[in-house]
Amino acid sequence: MSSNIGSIESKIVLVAFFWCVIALFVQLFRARKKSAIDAREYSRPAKCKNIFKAIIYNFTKAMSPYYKESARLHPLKFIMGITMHLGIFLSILKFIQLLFFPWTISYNLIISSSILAFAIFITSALSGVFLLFNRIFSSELRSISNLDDYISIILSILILVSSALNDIFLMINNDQMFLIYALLFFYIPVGKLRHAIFFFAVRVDFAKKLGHRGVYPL
Amino acid sequence: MINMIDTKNVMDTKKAKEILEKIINKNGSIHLNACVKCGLCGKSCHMYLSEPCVENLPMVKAQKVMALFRRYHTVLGKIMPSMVGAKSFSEDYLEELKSSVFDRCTGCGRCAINCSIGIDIASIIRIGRLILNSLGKTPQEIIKTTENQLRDGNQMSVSAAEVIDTANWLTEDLQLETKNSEFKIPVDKKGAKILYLINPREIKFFPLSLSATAAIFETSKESWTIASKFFDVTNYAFFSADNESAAKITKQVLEEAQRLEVKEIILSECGHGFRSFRWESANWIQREIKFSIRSILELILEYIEEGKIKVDKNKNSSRVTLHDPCNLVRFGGIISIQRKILSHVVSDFVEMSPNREQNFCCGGGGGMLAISENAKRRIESGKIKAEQIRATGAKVVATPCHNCADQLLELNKNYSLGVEILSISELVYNALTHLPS
Amino acid sequence: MKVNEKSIDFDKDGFMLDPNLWDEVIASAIAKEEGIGDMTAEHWKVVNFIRNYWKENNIAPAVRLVCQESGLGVRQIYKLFTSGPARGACRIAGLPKPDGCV
Repeated sequence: MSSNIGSIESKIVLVAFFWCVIALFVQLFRARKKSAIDAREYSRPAKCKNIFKAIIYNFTKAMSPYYKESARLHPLKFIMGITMHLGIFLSILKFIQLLFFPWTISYNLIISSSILAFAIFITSALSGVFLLFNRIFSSELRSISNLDDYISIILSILILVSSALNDIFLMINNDQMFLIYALLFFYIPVGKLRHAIFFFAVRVDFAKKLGHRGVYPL
Repeated sequence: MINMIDTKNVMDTKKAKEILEKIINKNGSIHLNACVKCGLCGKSCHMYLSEPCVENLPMVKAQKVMALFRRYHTVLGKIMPSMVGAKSFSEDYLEELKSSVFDRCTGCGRCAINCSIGIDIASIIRIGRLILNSLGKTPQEIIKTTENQLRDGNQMSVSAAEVIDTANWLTEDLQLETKNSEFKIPVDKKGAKILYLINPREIKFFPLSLSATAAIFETSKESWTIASKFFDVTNYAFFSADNESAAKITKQVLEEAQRLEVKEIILSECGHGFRSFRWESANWIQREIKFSIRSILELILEYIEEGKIKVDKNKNSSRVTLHDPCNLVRFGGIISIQRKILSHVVSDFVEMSPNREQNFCCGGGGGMLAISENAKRRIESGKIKAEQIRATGAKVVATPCHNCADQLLELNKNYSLGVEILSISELVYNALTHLPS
Repeated sequence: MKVNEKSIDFDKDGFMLDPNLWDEVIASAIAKEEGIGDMTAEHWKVVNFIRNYWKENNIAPAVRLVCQESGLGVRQIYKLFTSGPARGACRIAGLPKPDGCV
């Protein structure tokens, strides 16, 4: 029972991973309201206030096409976005499994080393490519995009493709893949990919506000 | 060659950066960090839908604030700003910011509840307004009206004598119309249970809603009063995000309530007024408010459900639809109450679609009505609302907000809707059974 | 807007930029724009009262004064001026736009 932290690449990706996690939490900490007075809510809550239910709502129903109009009006982009994120999450789980728990691979073939994993990663990568092309070829999206936006999606696609290639066919080996993961982890806190942590923060924060006022849950 | 520096236009960048830092520390920057530029927010915005250009994308409007944050508070923004779309302070940039947050946004928040990530986009727009206010760039009309309110106690500078005279005049009319010589509109009545805050519009231009509410209060035998000086339910500093002035205006009213020894403050039908007093004011003055603060709508429903007033829905037989004011509904939480009231007082009620928290802004909110320059865009952005109204086939549009009512009146004229705009109080008044028809 | 060969400027809300240029011909022109057609004696009573009040007090009169002076009820005022006393009557009377929620 050992982990995979032997090679120089695995040490680099370990550093990158911890850099990513720590930097994100530090950013989150620094993004809070600085004074306790400003952070406090002085108004009396709504009679039906239920902050817990409001937060649950904001992470579940509120993101479904039934409630969230942007998902309903842009069904293709919504599905592509979800598919791509699914692959990303799986890919990070794969990284954790590979680095820390390599002995579980033969037990858990959803995350890696199986046709299923391969299929998920390829589908996600294609979704990512769709979103990249969308950004390049839509004049409106192009006009609001910067280099950071393109790098973010390209890195994501790269991760998904390498995860796929590493599965089953082992076209790239673990160490080569670790280097690509390292690139992603170093970059995440630096640009818009920091939404990895801020997504949770904003949904909790907005849910607290609207829950206090009795607007959420719907 | 002499280099002439136009000192008027030299941006004090150091001061602006200090102001930005102070604002970021006070408000937190969670929402400023989360945007992924998906661009899906456009179709949830009434501005964008009426004029689909990139400047009207909620993300682009909020981006004007986020770009400043990135420039001065993130690593990439500091060393390679163009990579993340970070922007620096300059006179021109402040004009762009002003154009986004005052001319192209009412702060309605419909984008926020439909954002892919879940960002409170409306709060970012408010930060933009706060930055502009701190640098003296708020539109003049909003500054002037706020000054009126600070100096004279109400945004239209109506004198206390006028309030008293109008209350007496309305009392006479009310007694005639209801054939009840005991009905009156009390002013400055010490020891009353309720202080009823009204929109100065109800004194100056549109007293019918005040008469209606008075009749409802009197029928319920409520102990109530209006104030002659600090009677205003609105808080114009809300629109400029000038939280200091907003706090002063709040305190004026609270001191009045204290002087009159009331127990409860009831707010007339007003979107931003309700939101300001009920939800924001305690945070502006940074202490809990001891008075109970409720909307008149909550009280009216109570009266109906407790049988204190009897209503007959057949007295309002035209088809009625309901416009949901953004600050009352989406940011205020008063969503079902007005619908329950209407179910009692109207026989043919039809909802607009979408409605409730997903309602479309009328286009007149966020101080937009006060800014003359935006009149054309304001009317155009109201196209969505006009089409919603038309689709219901209603002859009456009920709306619990005086600001929305004014915008809807204009939309009625510009889009030839042929509808009547009524407050909830007026519809309830029409349905009162004991009054002559 | 061109009235009697004079070019009159209005703000984007349709209120006169220079209220001192007002005369009855301009009032009729604005009224036509409001969809009122020919102004009746009742229209003129209201408009003239508002105009004179503003000249003396530099502010628009409250609707109570308009009603008491003209002998009309509030509902009648709204029937005569469909945009209401502020955006309707005050505009026709050549006043600058009243402050605030109106």
